[in-house]
Amino acid sequence: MKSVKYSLFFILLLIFAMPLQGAAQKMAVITKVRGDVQVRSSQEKKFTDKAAIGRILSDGDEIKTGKDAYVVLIFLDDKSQVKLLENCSMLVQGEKSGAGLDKELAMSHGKLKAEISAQRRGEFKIATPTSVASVKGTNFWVISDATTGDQIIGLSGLVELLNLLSGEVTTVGANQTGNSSVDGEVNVNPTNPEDIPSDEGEGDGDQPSQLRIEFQDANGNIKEIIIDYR
Amino acid sequence: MPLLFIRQTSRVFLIFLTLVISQGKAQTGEGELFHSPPVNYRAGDNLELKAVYSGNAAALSQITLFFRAKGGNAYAQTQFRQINVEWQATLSGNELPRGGIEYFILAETVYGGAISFPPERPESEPVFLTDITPEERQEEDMALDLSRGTAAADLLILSPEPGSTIAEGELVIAVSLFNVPDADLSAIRLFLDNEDITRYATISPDIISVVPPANSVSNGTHTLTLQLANQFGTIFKPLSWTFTKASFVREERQIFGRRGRFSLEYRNEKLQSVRNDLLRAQLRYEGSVSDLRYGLYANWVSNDNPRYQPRSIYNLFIESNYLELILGDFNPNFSRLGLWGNRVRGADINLKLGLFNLHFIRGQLLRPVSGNVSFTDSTGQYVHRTYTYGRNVLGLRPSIGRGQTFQAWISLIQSRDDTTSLHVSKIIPQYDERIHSLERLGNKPVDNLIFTVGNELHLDGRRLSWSQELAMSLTNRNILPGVGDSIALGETVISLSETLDSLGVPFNLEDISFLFIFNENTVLPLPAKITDDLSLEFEPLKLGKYPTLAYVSNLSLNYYQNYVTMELRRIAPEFVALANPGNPSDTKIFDISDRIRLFHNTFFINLQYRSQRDHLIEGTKEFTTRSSNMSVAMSLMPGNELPNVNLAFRSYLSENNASRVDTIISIYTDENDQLRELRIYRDPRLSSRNIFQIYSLAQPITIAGLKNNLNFSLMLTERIDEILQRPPNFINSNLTIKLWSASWTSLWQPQTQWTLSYTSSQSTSSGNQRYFYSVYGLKLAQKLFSEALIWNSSLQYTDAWGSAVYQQSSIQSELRYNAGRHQFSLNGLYQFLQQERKQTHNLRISGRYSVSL
Repeated sequence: MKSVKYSLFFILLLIFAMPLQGAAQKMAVITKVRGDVQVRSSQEKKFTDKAAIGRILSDGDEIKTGKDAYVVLIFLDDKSQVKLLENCSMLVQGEKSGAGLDKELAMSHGKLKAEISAQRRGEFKIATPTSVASVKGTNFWVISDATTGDQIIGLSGLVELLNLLSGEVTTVGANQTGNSSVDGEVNVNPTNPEDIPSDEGEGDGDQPSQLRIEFQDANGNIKEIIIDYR
Repeated sequence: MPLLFIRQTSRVFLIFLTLVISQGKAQTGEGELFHSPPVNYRAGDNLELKAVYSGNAAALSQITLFFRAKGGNAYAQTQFRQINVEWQATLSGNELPRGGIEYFILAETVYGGAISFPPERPESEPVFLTDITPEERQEEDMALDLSRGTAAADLLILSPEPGSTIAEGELVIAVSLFNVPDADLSAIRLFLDNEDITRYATISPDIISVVPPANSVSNGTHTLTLQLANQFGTIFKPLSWTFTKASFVREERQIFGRRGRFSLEYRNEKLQSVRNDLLRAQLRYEGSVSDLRYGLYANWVSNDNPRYQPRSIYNLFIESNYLELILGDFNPNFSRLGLWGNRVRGADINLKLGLFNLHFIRGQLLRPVSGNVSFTDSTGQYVHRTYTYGRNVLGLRPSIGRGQTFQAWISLIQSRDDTTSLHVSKIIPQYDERIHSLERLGNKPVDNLIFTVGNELHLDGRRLSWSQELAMSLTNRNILPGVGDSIALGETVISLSETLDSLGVPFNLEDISFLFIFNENTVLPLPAKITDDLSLEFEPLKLGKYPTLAYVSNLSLNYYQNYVTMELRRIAPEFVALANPGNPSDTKIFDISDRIRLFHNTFFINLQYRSQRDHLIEGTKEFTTRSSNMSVAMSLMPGNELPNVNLAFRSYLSENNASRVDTIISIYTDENDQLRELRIYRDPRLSSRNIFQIYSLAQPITIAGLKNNLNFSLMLTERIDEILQRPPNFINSNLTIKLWSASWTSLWQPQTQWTLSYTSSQSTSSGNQRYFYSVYGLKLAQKLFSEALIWNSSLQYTDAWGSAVYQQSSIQSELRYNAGRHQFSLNGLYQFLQQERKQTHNLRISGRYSVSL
């Protein structure tokens, strides 16, 4: 009987230990990096790696950007995209849930743009020290400041914004800005377009850019097409 | 065509191949021999080997390939042939044995020298190549079959986006296998322009990714093809897509980038019979030249009026990595105690050298407002009212450290009213200051000087942040008398010049009037007392008695799912910051909070405690008022269509140590000539407790494929006066509110959503006055033309009864249209209010157009 108890205890121990032993769930891939961006693996205590395109981020990995830097991540399950602007840090957390990943991004401060896929799978939450933005399939900005609170600027769809201090919840829609203050207040106002952060590094936005494509013919002559676009 | 993966003759290719794939190289004084051994070979098939010499090819006489069967005694040899810059040798399939071969390459120069690959002991330590085993051959054969799959796979192309254009250095090929959980990782082939690049790919159960090195893929359009099968042998239909690789001239945009936005807004508003129309024009334009960024911002509004402070805002900025310059209106974060976010019109220069920085501002905090002037016949003088002196500010803030990790600073902020900024003759042309006398009934011109010292420290990626600042102010509440030799200590005016002389201060007060004007309206900033012989005795060590001292310290810790913040703020009674008037005076605040995230951000606990008191210096107030605030909030957000639950409790206690009730007895004669006594009570005692509770629930519900969300919330508030035995007729501030609301949101299609809501409130205030209201709401949102056109509408009806009776109906509608660079929006609001037989109509119509420049 004693051995049965020991066996049961051992089996239970194994059951509880198994999730700890498994490899961390792969969450996202880095597709764009500009400037000083560092990654801390969940196994590491310090930021030891420079982020590079193609780097896979797993559950528990943390990423931080330096001055004038930004990084773009694409999530594996539904192609949702997150852009982290300069001087920002973000912990990527999540787990497999059904056909998708329940994604939880914890950022301490800074600016983040989320473009959630229309084919969203799993939960998508962004937590700051002040608030939690629970996403219903949308594009939005998160501007988090530890001293003043958070701004959620909705670009499309809906975001549910919870203030962690007061427990107040509000819904932020397109062209609306939700404010969640460190005092516990939550409100929603129409977005002032001037408050929308500059989408750094996006040449396909409002920013004029130029594309040059080189062609080489059979004789080795090089010709160039220059396309001006926005 | 990509350089890496196809047989293209290019020196760059082989140099890249060798360097990046790091198979090895041989080196001479003149050039290097680059070669990348293949992974394996197939017996019976020809094997082609390539090499390139990075030096002068004319110096090579020949390159020879020496090869033998694995473990063989003698090497056979064949010559490399030169094709452009590349050298190639082909081994016939008949010459390739099963079991592997060994080989090395020897290049001979015309000068008699030789270099080899491998560079050291090539004969005894040659390159070893294995042939493909029958199993591997089977796999390869299957790879051929992979192209004929027909079953659909739920593959997700992460990068590059089909049809997209990718810049140099930004190409990452990534396909998600997340939704193909049974994919056979050994039966995956990835092709770039028909070249198999599988061996360069990182393959895991979730993702296939390849990062081709820079310059390895040529400019132009390319095709990617992914073939795969699952573990049960089902071959999926190959996934193909194209992208264009180009040498973006992003740099050009960075060197000469510019962007902007212009908007025009008109509002026609009539609320409570008061018109409030507005025309607003905004322009923001930014650009950059190399590391220099510049821009301008203008916000012009039609209701800017010289009788008020400016509402229109304009500025121009230029900034580089080392210098920021703003001209016009700006809101400097200069000193948390002295100047923090207030608008200044002038110049802001911030020199950022890293180790040493200097921030300088100069401008106007308030513009002069003329006010009203009237002539009084009885006194024969003009009287000037409702005016504002122009107020100038000057700030200097040298600092050490960039602030990313550490910064220490001192700052000096001078705010002074301009006594010459008001010109009565502009209002009353006949006024002549040489003839007429003028009395100003309003604010006196003031002078304010603040000195601060502070530092901030950020460690461990800002997980630990600590900042603190200490400030002392000097304030003269009326500088019209000019420089005097006295200063105020409480109610007593004392001679300052004598004190300065006794302390040996080598200047007089006139000399420093450019910095600060001392006179009897100035509060002595040091703790002191007047001795029996009427001399001044300073008490510099009594820090708690400095009347104009302020201190603020903030600490934040973000560790182990806890975000802890602490603030200590102490502002003495006479501390004044004219450039930061929001600072409460005579206050000590301690605030600590912890926000705890648990279970992968599905459960949150928030704790906060805040205490506040006044009367920091004994004797400056009649009694001390204290308040404390405790709050606990919990949020459960489990996800997966489960309900979100939020609970919040807050308790707020405010009390003072007043213990007596003042009674004023007034004797008067009534209409019957009888003497009557009127007692008026003043009860300053305070002990008020506020309890605040919120419960909310959000439950997603899917019915017949329709996504719905049910929200329910309940809020309870109670304010209780805890003082017993108040005087008769004392009106206490007791209040009880019960408010509950419910809403139902339904998403009919991705483009259409409606919300029904109901709110009910019941409140009881002092004297058992009861007030009730109900609000019924309906919201509709419609998106059309791929969300280019968005229409939001809402209807709301409010019915209130009890101590106030009214009914209000409102309808609001908004239409937004996005047409690329152009955006249009139209808003309309109509409210109808009926209260006490009086009907009020409110109407607001506004339109906005904006365009990206």
